[in-house]
This record gives sequence, structure tokens and C-alpha cells, in this order.
Amino acid sequence: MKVIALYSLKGGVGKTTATVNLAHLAATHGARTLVWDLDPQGAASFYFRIRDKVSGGRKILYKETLLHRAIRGTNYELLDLLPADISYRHLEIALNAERKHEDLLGNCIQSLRQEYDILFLDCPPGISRLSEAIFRHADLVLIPSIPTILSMRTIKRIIDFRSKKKLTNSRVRAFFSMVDRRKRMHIAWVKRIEEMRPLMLNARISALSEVERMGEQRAPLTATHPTGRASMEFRKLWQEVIASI
Amino acid sequence: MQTLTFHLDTDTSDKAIAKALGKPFAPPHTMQAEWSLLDTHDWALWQAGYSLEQAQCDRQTRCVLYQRQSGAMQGMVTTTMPRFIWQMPPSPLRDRLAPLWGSRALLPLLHLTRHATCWQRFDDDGKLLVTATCHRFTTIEGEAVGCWLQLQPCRGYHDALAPIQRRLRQQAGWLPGKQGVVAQLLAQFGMAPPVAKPLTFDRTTTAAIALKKAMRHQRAIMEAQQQGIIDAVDTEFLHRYRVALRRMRSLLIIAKPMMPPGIHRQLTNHCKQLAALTTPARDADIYWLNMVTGSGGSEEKLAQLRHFNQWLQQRQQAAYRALCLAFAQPHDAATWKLLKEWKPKKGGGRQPARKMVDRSLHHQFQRLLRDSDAITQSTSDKRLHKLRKQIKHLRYTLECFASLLPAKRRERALHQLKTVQRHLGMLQDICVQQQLLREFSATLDNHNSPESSRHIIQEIGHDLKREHQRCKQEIPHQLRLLRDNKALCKLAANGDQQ
Ligand SMILES: Nc1ncnc2c1ncn2[C@@H]1O[C@H](COP(=O)(O)OP(=O)(O)O)[C@@H](O)[C@H]1O
Ligand SMILES: [Mg+2]
Repeated sequence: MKVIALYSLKGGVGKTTATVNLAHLAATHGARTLVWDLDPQGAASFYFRIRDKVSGGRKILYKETLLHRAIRGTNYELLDLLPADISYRHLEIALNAERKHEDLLGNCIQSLRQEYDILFLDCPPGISRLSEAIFRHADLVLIPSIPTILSMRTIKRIIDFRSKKKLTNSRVRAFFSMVDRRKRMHIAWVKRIEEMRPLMLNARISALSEVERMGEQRAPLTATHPTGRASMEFRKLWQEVIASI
Repeated sequence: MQTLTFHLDTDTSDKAIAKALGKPFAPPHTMQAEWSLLDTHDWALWQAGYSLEQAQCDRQTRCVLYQRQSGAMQGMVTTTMPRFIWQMPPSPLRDRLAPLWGSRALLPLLHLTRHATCWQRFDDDGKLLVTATCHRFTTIEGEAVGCWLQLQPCRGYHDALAPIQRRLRQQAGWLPGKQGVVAQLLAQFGMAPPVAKPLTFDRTTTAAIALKKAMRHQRAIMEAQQQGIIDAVDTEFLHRYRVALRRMRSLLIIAKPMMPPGIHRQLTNHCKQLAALTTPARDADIYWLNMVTGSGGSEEKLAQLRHFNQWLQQRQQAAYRALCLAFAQPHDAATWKLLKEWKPKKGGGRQPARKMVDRSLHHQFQRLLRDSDAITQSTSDKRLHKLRKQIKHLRYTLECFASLLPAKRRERALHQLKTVQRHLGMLQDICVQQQLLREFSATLDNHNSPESSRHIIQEIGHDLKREHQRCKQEIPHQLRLLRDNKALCKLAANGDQQ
């Protein structure tokens, strides 16, 4: 099983949007896929129309059977979701209470290994114990960033954090998200992609109204508008993502 | 995952099904696809219980692989149906099969057309709860083969299933069956082992006649499995053959006092030889079944076990070849002929069959009480294996002469016997796997074998050891339950007049 984390310090950069679409693509390519909605806002659960809250609270992190019972099938074949709710708040408390050498997230991931080929982690923004754990266990940390100077600095901070904590197991990749062709600044940054290789992926996601409307349709764009521009872009992104895990 | 399968008449219309399902289902969508099942000659694949389905949709061929027992599913999109696993495009599906692949082509075992109609039930948010699929199979020429309705809850939404099931029962009188669609199709085409009707005896039957009848019955079951074993259709054929063979041996033990000694010896020896031939084949089967379908090994481990799997496959095939060769020997047919011909010794076997069964049960149970008394968690595997055989003998006696015994008591006793046996059986399976691993390790060349291979074998060895201990802990408790089983005690007490 490969673990892909969509992570950023900032909110509203397109993490959840990318998670939902990439996970759907993974499933349509035949991978048994699980999305773990780690964000208490539950945006990923919302997009998949899953309103269940996870019962069992913090306990599901310690008991394999509870964790498995919390998993919900989505409307798409091979694609399951572990809903939000407990995840962040309890996870943070639990991780803070972790004893030395204890590895809660690692154990959870381990117990999902048999059943899935790909696990997507839709992470909440910010740096916390959770981010540390994610860097420890993800095969790939994928950072969506809006092409501005501030975003570039954010990526740098994430990489510094990773080196400082010696969490260099996972690969880090970034991609440009919400690229607006009308903005000179965006164009300028996109032109510099080559300089930022291999950290920056070639594929980028444009700012499109169809992406915004995903909130009304509550479904991955790659399912509802498979031939639309956004779907094409996500497909390209997915190909690069597979190549780097 | 819990899927319910209803076998319907082939002329049940979609409309009738929709009516039975009720309103809240979204309008159906239909698709037609060619449907094939994997060739059985690729042992590894078959053992793993896979079936491959191809369906044409969106101008692409979708290959979907099912694991028959677990219903686990994995899909892949290709432009053509691959004939060999190595022709599949790189995909998780191919990765999953890679450690199992053989050199044989994936020839279709069943080639049918499947018309599937699918209804889905959603909640108010538009979340899928249950999918109902009607599978209609026809031959490629268009002749109706069968019709099944499957209800599959979305993971985590099992509660949504019950009301629909209730409705189907009340509205249409449909009840779910025990077997899935593939199993039922295979049975229809003679690719699943035939099921024998139970034997009945009346109260006046004498011991000798009952025994003769029971033995010939078991032989008929064995004969019915033989072709399936030779054609390598399914592991189940061999399994049933072995069960019938063991029952035969049980019957021979009971028959000893009344059978002419020469014939008895010939039959007993022949059974023993056959049992010895079937054991290595079954051992390999068990390893595959546990390894791939059970908790025996993860896929990642499996992938690193190429060499071991090849070795096992070779062994398995050799074992099956040897067995099939034995079937073809004239000696086999000649020996079984004795079953028809033997006559009881002078004055033997005239007592009522019921009396003989009671006596036998009494003796066996007394022996079991004696032998299971000293069983603890540290009893050797060998002794437990011996005990397992005794318990089986007892069980087979109850089963072969079921119609002579009071039903309720018999079922209660059988239930406990089976439970104990399951525990002892698991232990035995683990021992078998351990033994196979040991034998394979011995073949590993210390210099040439890859480090990872040796490492993984060690790791599996550790897992098995842990499992072994866990299994063993439970056994003394189960044996105590068996000894205290009231039904069994009463059944055994009947034979205690002398
Ligand atoms: N490529 C895009 N074009 C237009 N709007 C987008 C795009 N990607 C995301 N959005 C919008 O931005 C908002 C935040 O996106 P989201 O994926 O939830 O970010 P995050 O998970 O990083 O907080 C959502 O309302 C979404 O519709
Ligand atoms: Mg989000």
C-alpha cells in the first residue's frame, strides 16, 4: 500500500479538491483506494455525501476492529472513505498523549495495509504532532500551492520543518493549484517550474468555475465531468503522482 | 462483505424485480457483457479462488477480478482481454496476480453472456446505500442459463439491507440462498462437486447389511469426485474424496468383526495407500487456500515468495499426478469390487444395525474420555492429531448412521464434535504449513538463494508459531465441553448394556 498525504500549512489551497479527484482516479484505475478525512471540517466526507460521524471516538485509533467498522463505501467502486469527526481533534490529543516509541497513526495505517492499494490522507492545515506523524508515514507528501511568493515560502518552511525533525523518509512534491491565467504573477511563477524540478511537478490545476461547483454536485469532477478541463488536468497530475511513488 | 444472492426463475422480468424491490430505487441501468471464468489449469490462480470477468463498456474492456470466497474485487481497464497474466498492463491487479502467475493461458472455463441490470438505493444526501443487480446468464447462442438477484450493501451501510430483504420475502417470496452466483453456475455446469443424498436405514436392517450399504454409498461419493480431481476443477473435489475415504476407513473399523479377514485387510490397505497419496496433494491445497484467502500471508509477502510458490506448485502437481495415476490402475477398480462381493463371516453381523452403532459409539466415547483426560496446552501435536482422528471417527459414525439415531441429540452432539474438530483442524493446518516451510527451507541453497526469500520464510514461520500457540490454548477447554456434552453422553450410554 502506498500512502499519499495532501498537506499544506495553509487552508483553502485545494488539498481536499485534489484528494477527492485523485482518489477517484486511482480507483478507476483499479487500485483499492481509501481516503482518510483527517480534517475536522469533513470536506472530503461532504464531497462523498457521507454524513456519518465516526462513533467510538479516540478508541478507534487503538482498536483495529473499530477503525475498520468506521470505514464507509462511497458511491464509486473500489473507493472507500474514513470519515472525519474524531479524526483531528482526538487524533491530536491522542498523539500528544503518545508514549515514547508508540506510533498510533503508524499502527492504524499498518492495519489498513492488507485491504487497500492506496491511502490518501486529506490533512488539516498547520504544523502539529499530526504533521510529524504524516511525514513519518506517507510515501509521498503532496503540497498544493497557489503560485505566489508567499506559497513558495510556505513550501520552503515545510521542507525546513521536515529536515529539522529528520523526517526524510517520505518524498515531498508540490504542484501549482488554482492557477489563474489572468494574473501576471501566476504566469510568471508557472514559467519557472523547470527551475524548481523535481520538487515542483509539471502538472498544474487551473482556477476553474467547474471546480467551485463541485460543492453543489458533491462528487468528484473526474466522475461527473470526465472530459472537462479540470478532469484532464487532474489526470495529468495523477500520472505524475504515480510516477513519483 | 455481506451479499445476498437470490436464485430466480429465468423468466422473471426486470419489471417484476423492480416491483419487488419497491420505489426508492433509482431507475435501473443495464449492460451486457461477455463473461468468462478463468481456466483451471493454472493451479495457483484457481486455488486462490479467482474468477475474471470482462465487460465491454465505454468502448473499453474492463477486466474485473473477483475473489470468490471473500467477494473482494479488483478492476483494470484494457483494450483487449489479456490471454496471459504477463500481457496485462501494469496495474495493481497485475501486481496482485504476479506472485501467482503460471505459464498457462487464461482459457475461459465458462463462457457466457451476462446481462446485468442494476438498481441502486440512495439516502436523502444521494449517498449510495444498496446495489441490487440482476444477473441473467445466457449461452453465447442466447439460450437462458440462469437468473440471480444480488443485494450488496455499500460498506458501512449494512443496516439498509434488512428492510429490503424483508420486503422481497413478503412481496415475492424470495429467500436468499447459501451460495454465490459463481458457485451456483459452476454447479450447474458440473464443475462443482456433486452432493450426495444422505442414506437412510430402517430399524430392522441388520448390521452387516447396513455396513455394506454405507460403504458402497461412500464409494459412490468417491467415484463421483474422481473426474473432478483428474480434470483439476476445484480443490473441493479432492477434499470430498478424502472425507468419503476417511468415512470408509471408519466403517471398516466397525466392520472388522464381521468381515472376512482377507477382504478386510485388502480394503484397509488400499484405503491407507490412497490416503497416503491424497495427503501431499491436500497439504499443498491447504497451504494455498490458507495463504491466499486467509490470514496466512500478506500480498507483499506473497510477492517475495516466488520461489517458494513455484516449489509448492511443482509439488502439488506431482502429488495430483501420482493420485490420478493410482485411479487408472486396474488394482484400484478390482479392490473396490470387493465391496459388492463380501459376505459376512458365519454368524456375524446379524444383530440390528442400531445395536451395532450404539456399541461402537459407547466404545469410542469411553476411549475418547480416557485419552482426552490428560490433554493440556503442552500436549504434543502428534497426540492431538491422534485425538483428532478419534473424534473424526466418532463423528463419521454418527453421520453415516444418522437415520438410526435420535435427531435432536445427534445434531447437538455433532455440533460440539465439529467445534472441537475445527480447533484441532486449524492446529493441524498450521502444522502442515510449518512442515512445508521446513521442507522448503531445507532446499534453499545457502549461497544462491536470495536473502529476502530466506528472511520472509523466517517471518512466516514466526507468524505460524504464534498462531499455533493461540490455537493450542483453546483446545483443552473445547475438549472439556465435548466430554461434558449431554447429548453425546446419552448417545454413548445406549451401548452400555454388556
Ligand atoms: N482549481 C480550482 N479552481 C477554483 N476553485 C477551486 C480550485 N481548487 C479549489 N477551489 C475552491 O477553493 C476552496 C478550497 O478548496 P479546498 O480543496 O477545500 O482546499 P483545502 O482543502 O486546502 O482547504 C473550495 O471552495 C474549492 O471549491
Ligand atoms: Mg480541506
